[in-house]
Amino acid sequence: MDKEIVVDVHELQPPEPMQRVLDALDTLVDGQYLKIIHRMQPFPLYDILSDNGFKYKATDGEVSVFDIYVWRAKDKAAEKTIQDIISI
Amino acid sequence: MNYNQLSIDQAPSISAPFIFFLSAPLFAIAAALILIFNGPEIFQDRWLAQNLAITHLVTLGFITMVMIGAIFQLLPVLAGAPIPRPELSSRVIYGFYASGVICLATGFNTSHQWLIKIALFLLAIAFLVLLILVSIALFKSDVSGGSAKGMRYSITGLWIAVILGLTLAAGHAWDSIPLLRHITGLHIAWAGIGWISMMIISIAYQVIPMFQITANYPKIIDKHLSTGVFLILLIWSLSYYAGTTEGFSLQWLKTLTALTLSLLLIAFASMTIRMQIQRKKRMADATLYFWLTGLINLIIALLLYCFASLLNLDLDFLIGIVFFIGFAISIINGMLYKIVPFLVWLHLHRKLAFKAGSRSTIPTMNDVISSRKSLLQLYLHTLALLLTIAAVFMPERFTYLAAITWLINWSLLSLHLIQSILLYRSCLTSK
Repeated sequence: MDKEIVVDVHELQPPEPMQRVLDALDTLVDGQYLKIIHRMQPFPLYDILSDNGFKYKATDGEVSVFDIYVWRAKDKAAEKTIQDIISI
Repeated sequence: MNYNQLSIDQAPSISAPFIFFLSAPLFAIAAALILIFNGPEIFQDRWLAQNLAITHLVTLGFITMVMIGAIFQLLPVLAGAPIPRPELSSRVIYGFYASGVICLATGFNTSHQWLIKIALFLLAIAFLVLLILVSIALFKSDVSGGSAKGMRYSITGLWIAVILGLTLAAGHAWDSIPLLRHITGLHIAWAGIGWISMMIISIAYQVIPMFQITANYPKIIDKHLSTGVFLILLIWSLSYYAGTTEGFSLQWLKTLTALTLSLLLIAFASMTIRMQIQRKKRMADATLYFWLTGLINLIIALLLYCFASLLNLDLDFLIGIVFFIGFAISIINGMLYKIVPFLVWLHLHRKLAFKAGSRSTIPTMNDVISSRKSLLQLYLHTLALLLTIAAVFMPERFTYLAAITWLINWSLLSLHLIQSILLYRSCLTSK
């Protein structure tokens, strides 16, 4: 099982990026996280994530402007993996 | 670089922008009705009181009304700068603002000075609250980039336009206060360029690449255009004001800065049109056509202005219509067809996205306002614009036709917006 699910939305028109992300969130299992490739910080998505028990972290992107990591707030294993990636 | 978690609840509830959006077409309908009641004589003299009523119903009642609503929504999203207590502040601003515009337009239309006095106080309070809240939010925001910078200039432009406007209104309201008609040009320039155009430019930096999947604006435009426009507008204003002082003229500087300003804005419009033509996905919708209509009208308005300045012609009526209706209203109207369905969709997702089985029942953006509906209104808008331009040259023949087309057009927009909010409510109550 891959720990990372990549969702590349940087060339999609709103509201497709959020739709894709919400669909991908449904498939997350323990230890997994999303890496969203986005051209902007999706502030409206952040509200939905926070309201529904997810955490997120945005970093400078490799493919587009931002990479945004999303994981379940309770999932400490996924959080640890992301911390390791970001601190590299 | 890591980005810290942004504060939750960045976006206000749907009611904060929607009270402004839903009201705006009603003010435009009022403008169309005044045009119908007064007929072709409206086009005889720009200083007619009824003209001032129509102008302010359009610029304050429609254009600025929508822009204030959009600010509540866009500041958190584009600049990461939420306005504190958006529900309360939007209602307070709306109450003073909407009643202020009604009093101002009625005051002009009926030549009742006491109404203009009341309007002055109501609008002063509304703008003061708005500008202080927005200025604090914007200047506290650490989001950089062309969009946030342009918004800061735009709000500064609104401060200046409002101060000039209140000064002019005071001259209309009190006989003891001189009516400084010579500063009208400054008021129009700061409202039209400093506030409206600057805000449209700032929003374009974000929404054109985002909604129309184009390349980003070239760095030089993104970084420097808004600063250039602001500074040149400032120098133009000084030379304009100097020109109103007896025995002192900086006409050459005024002409030079006006031409430079026009060139900068024409460059922006041409670049945006080019990006839209070269967009990565070939799909087109009403919003794209509204933008193209608006940008082409901006170019025409500026060329007419340059032409009139160089040849010393009076084309004020035509330029005003092409700029404020052809450019500003086209783009704002087009944006409503993106923002309103998007907000309905977004807020339904905020409330229902993680409720079992709910997500699949949330309407798509096209369900909220279909492309067929928005295209129909685009055609009506374009027809009404052309008829209004024709009325400038042949008022007897075209004024009533234009006014009635506007009336139908704004009523249709109003209907589409009301249907959107009703759909939103029905989705929530059925869950």
